[in-house]
Amino acid sequence: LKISDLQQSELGRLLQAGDLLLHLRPFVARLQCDVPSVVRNIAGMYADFEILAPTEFADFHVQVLFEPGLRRWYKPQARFYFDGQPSFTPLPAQQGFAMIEWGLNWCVAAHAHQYLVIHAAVIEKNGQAVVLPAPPGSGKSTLCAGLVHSGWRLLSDELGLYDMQTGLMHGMARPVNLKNASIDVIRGFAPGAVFTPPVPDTTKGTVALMRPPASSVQRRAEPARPAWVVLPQYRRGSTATLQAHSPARTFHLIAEQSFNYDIQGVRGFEAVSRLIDQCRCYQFTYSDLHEARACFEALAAGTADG
Amino acid sequence: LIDANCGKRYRHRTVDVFWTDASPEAVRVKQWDGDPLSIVYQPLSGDTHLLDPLPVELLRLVGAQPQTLAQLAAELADALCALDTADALDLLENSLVKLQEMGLVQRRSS
Repeated sequence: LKISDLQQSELGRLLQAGDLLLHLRPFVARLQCDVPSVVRNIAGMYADFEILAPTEFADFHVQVLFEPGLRRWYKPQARFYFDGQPSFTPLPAQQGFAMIEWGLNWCVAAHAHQYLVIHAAVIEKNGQAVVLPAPPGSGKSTLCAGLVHSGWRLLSDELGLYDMQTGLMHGMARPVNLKNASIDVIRGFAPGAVFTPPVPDTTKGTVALMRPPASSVQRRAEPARPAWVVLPQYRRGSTATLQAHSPARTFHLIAEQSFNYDIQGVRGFEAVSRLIDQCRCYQFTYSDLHEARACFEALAAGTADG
Repeated sequence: LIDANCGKRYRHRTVDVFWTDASPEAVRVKQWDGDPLSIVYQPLSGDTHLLDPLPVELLRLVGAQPQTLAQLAAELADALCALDTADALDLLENSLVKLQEMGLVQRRSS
């Protein structure tokens, strides 16, 4: 059964009761939420995801609930709960869906230590994955959103799950988090893309989430072998350029951008060493998604220079 | 390698000090062809460092056996030939101090 198979009223009932088990693969999240806008956003963004019976095992028990008392009515706020415990500060209720997304990211980053959890977008074509690690503001999500509307499969916009035993990348193919000007950039580049209504005044500015392509969601249990690590950097007015990048510097960035590298100890060092050994490393500067698409086509075809 | 002037500085600061590795377990060094930089993992602290070639070579030398600054300078004479002696010793000592701050090497009295 998929989310899209449910009437919104039924979806709302399951969410209200805490009986919605979202099969993210490789995880299951049990969601409870009493914020109405979240029901619409889950229906829109997770349409192609399966749900499980409420009696099944869930890895993460997540709630986003209105704050009690006057705050329920005056500038209503909601709070994220993990395993029944309040986590993080309350935020305006209109940010409820973003809270679920950010909270789920935290759940995975803080608990899924069977993987090296890398702050990276991961996309795949012809069985080969590109890992795009980058600090915020680099244009990673914009590039990722553009490329998954250009024939690349989405594994992840935010969390790359590197299996340290197999050397394969996993992703959950969850919605892509876009901010500020990127929202309109993707609307223009991919008119068929589906978004949540933009939410202004978050800590990240105006935020909208983009629905992952159905084909990526259907294949989300399928890992991919990393072939490239590309460090993206949006630079206004620049021509799209792929340049070979120092593997050692790339290692250092991956370690910095991994949520649990330190926890893994020597296993983390060996995992990143293996990842870099598997890949060719590039720095990618861009300002135009059409040019970016051409560069990545060349990368996949093995004709990229740099 | 040592001229009269900087020899004084050299004797003053390091003559009886040996530099050695800081961990009972050897540090792990990862290098890639064509890349002058290296990644060094210190198993004792769990820290990972991005290092230039000189400190990596110093790690290799003091990891093999404790060395004084003079011994290290002699080992690296070819690589340091473009510098005068004082500058070479400064460079080595500064590198060793930075490595010490990273917990990768330590001083040991003779």
